[in-house]
Amino acid sequence: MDVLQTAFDTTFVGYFMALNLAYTALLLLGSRQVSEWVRRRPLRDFRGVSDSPLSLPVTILAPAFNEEPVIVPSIRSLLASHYRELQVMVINDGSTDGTLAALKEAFELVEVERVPRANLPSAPVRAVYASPLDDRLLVIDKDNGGKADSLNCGIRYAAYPLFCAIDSDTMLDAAALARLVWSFQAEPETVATGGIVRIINGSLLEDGKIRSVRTPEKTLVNVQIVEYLRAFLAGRAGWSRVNMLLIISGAFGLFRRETVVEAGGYDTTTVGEDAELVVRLHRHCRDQKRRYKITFVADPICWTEAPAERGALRRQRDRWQRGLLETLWRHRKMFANPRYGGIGLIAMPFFLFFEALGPVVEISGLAYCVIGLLLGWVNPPFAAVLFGLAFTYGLVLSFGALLIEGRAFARYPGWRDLRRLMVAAVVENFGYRQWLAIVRTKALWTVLRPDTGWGEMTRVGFSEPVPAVAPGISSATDG
Amino acid sequence: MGVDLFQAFALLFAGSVALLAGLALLVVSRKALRDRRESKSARRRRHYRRALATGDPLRLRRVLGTVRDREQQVDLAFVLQDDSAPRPPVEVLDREGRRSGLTVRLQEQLRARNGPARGRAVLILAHLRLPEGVTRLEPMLDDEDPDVRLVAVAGLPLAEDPDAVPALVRALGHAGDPRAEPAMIDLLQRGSLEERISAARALGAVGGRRARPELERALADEAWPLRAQAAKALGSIGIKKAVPALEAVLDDPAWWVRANAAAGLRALGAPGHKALERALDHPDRYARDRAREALAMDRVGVGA
Repeated sequence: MDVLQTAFDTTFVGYFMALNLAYTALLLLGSRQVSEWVRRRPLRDFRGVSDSPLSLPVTILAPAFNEEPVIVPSIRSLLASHYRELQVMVINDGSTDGTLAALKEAFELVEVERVPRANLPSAPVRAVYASPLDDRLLVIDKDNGGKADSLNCGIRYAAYPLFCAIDSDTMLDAAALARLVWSFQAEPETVATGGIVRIINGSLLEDGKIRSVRTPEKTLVNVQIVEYLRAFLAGRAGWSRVNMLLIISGAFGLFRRETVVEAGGYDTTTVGEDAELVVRLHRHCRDQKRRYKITFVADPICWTEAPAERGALRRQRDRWQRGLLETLWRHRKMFANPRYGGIGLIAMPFFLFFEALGPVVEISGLAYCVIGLLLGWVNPPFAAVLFGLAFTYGLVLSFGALLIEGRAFARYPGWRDLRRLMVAAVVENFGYRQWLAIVRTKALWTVLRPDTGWGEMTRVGFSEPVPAVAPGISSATDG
Repeated sequence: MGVDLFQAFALLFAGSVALLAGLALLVVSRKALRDRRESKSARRRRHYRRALATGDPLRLRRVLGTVRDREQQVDLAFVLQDDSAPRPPVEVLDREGRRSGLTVRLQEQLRARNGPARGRAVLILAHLRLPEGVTRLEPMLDDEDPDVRLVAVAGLPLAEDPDAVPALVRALGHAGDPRAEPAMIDLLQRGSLEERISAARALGAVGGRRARPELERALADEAWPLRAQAAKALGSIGIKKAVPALEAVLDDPAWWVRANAAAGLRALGAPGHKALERALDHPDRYARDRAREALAMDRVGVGA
């Protein structure tokens, strides 16, 4: 029994130490990356990139499934993006509501003939529409096939060398595209780059634009804001610093079309098509021994509505976790394989042990401690110290992310916002984190029966000034 | 579980509590500091703007003399980049810049080890639009830092000095100055592939009739990206004589070339449309596709 207990103790304590060391390293790398960006920001003429006829043209791909309440303001907001050579392509994925009708009415769509160019499979296209009101808009109506299938369809019809994959319920900052395109122009070996996704709940909107950024009253959403800041400003910025970024959010990423087509486009058989594509791009470029970069840029912002209800949040996190597990399984050949450099030796083991299996270890550790305390295996002061350490260190990481945000961007300008976020960082440790670990652990069991559907989502729309708390939806973003 | 391990963890716990307290304090104080810095920066920008607007040499000298640290430099660059703001004549700025010591400091900063510091110096020197700007900025086109190179490229035309043209031609992708057209044409004939593509792209933006023969020759090049850019440039320059050349590449093996040729023909008006109509019976399926697409867009009134 003693041997077993020592083995458990050593495993949990060792895991805990390794996890926190890794997160600390990421926080420091992320902080450095963001500081570098901030120092260089005044030198970069993003307006010049937006206005220049010489900048690389971009196609925005916005897949839509039953988005009737939000589709028109979302597309108007995309068309309002400040970028000279732009195509906005909506891919209606066999919506059963009035998505297409709303688009037809708002943009006076007329059917046109378009011939696809890339050889990527996708569900049959019913019709292609253009708008006499704005020649940058193209709407593709197709049979339902899922988000990845819609993106592949969009890539087939995209006119430009860069495409930006976004969720149709998200809003881009006006200068967001230019900031992402900058990476491709300054570093031509860039094949993909992602921007930050921020939560819009609580902010005031007017005419499809953000009038004032605020945090909502609802703690569940504020907890997610802190999570997003940690994930993007510490996690992704850190991975990007060492060119080992494995995830670009499906809600906002810019890709070199040609490379994505070479790599085979989006995988339609996984729920985590965004992460899977990025890992495949790494694999493809490394297999071809090509110099390449996949980066994260902390400034260009895509705003999305976060689930404000537990049910929607559970479904979202279940989907993310399954997506991650499927991606890691599909590319297991890269795991610990020196051929794939840091991706195989560092990033994939990190994602497997700390992100994919982390919740299982957390739940097991909690159960072990509770049972151990009841049966007298575990020394109560020791357990208390360990819990305290986990709690305070978790907070250190969250406050670290808040510090990076405050120093570099300060998008939440009020003292009330800072207070809410600091409170949320504390509150998330009491119940939320453990609940999420259970949700993610459950996802591990369902991964053998992947469901690639989009799920039913209730959209509330954000075209009008919204109240402090927008009723919840689940979005297809990942944090 | 040994006592030593317990003590180690207790120490770690105490350490992380202290770290957390420090970090919380830092988050709050940073916010206060940032708020203060932002209002200070807004005041400073107003101050710079007023000094530039009045053009009073003494005041200008005093203000420029205070520009020393990073934040002050960023604010001055911000104000100088605002083209709508009034500013004194270049000779006044030049003289007061020298007398205040700012010009010398910035010239020294051009040799700084830190890339962003060099970049800020280039940015301010470029936007001061001093007469000898080209001499100062041209070496920065070869800087090891890409941001510094790009700031120098964007800054060179501001000097409005004819000597800048050769330097700008070296950075065609970012130039877009019609005075460089002959040099661009030359580059299209003789440059590396990347340079030729950039030259074709730039000619599309600023080129004139003189560029047509060389762009048409580029349509037959073996590199498809160059053929595609040449087709696009011919369409955007809008020379109707280019119709036969564009029509001839509607069946090009590369999609981009076909698409740009069709878009170009569409942009060239009636003769281009006739060419597209002829292409509806083209023996090549892909040429027919492109022509059909382009004409369909026309029929529904979607702009070219």
